Amino acid sequence: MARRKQQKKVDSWRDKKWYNVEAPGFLNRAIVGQTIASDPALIPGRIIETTVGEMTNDMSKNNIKMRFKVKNVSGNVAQTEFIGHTLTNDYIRSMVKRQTSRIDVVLLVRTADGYIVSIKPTSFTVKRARASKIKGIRKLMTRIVVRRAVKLNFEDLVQEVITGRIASTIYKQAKNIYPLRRVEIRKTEVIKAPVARKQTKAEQEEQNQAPEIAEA
Amino acid sequence: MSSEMKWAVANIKSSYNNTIVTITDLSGAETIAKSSGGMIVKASRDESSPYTAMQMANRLAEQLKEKGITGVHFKVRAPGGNKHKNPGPGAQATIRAFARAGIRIGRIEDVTPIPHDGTRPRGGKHKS
Repeated sequence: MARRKQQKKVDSWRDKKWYNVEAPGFLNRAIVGQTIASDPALIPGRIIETTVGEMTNDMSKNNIKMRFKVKNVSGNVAQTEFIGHTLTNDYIRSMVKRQTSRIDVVLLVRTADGYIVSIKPTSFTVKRARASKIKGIRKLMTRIVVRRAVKLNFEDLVQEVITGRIASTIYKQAKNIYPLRRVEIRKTEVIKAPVARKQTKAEQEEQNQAPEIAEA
Repeated sequence: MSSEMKWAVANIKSSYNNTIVTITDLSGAETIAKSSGGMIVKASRDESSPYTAMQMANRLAEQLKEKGITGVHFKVRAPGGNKHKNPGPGAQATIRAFARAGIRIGRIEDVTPIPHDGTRPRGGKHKS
């Protein structure tokens, strides 16, 4: 029994082929990694994680993870779309310290080209801040991120988030309110892509409801 | 990354009672090889020991080489949730054994599920 089982496994391995997974066009279509499958139809929907450091050969950015979801497969290349990024757990945990404040916001933002993205910036203060200062910083973070996101296309927004440009503008302005140690964009998630890409009626109806949430 | 390297992910679940290693492709959808303490050792108290973990890693490393995989990223987790959140004794031994078996080590990451305050832990004392 056992032996037969093993033989089957080896056979199925031989049938499978490797596919290269590509990052989306705005990230230069760099090869993110490989995945294996017996049938290319199985690949769409798979999610691959890499770090920014790996894609740019910059070791200092290895604590930012990006997630890509496979959209379609052509030949032995799987094309992906960006579905969000996170900081690694251990990095965030290393930033949290006693006698300091950590200020989180969760924002739902609509980009200029219709993507609905949730962005979660975080700042860490040098000393514990008063509630009024924390509120001020939170308000400022909200204003900066929302204003920037409304003007930018999705792809440019992702670029700015990942290169840390938004975080540094927050840092520059918010340090006038209270001394800050560090500002990061902790997480982004793509909630919804624009209507034009989706076809079914049910999805379109959902789409019509979504913007109300964003504006509220 | 050079095209010569073929990466995989080793998902290690390491508790105080057992170590389970599942090696998948980068997406986590396809399993390449797997092993657990009970496959190596007969006594259940040895399932989590570092020595068992080492042997598991050696066997897995062989299978990986057969299948042409040269590098491995690690996702280490403890039981997590309302149980203990530090990986057991097998995790570190596994990683070391892979390195010594000649497989390139990529990122190592702790993916223990942490509740944002969940259910009540069992037992009388509630330590951190």
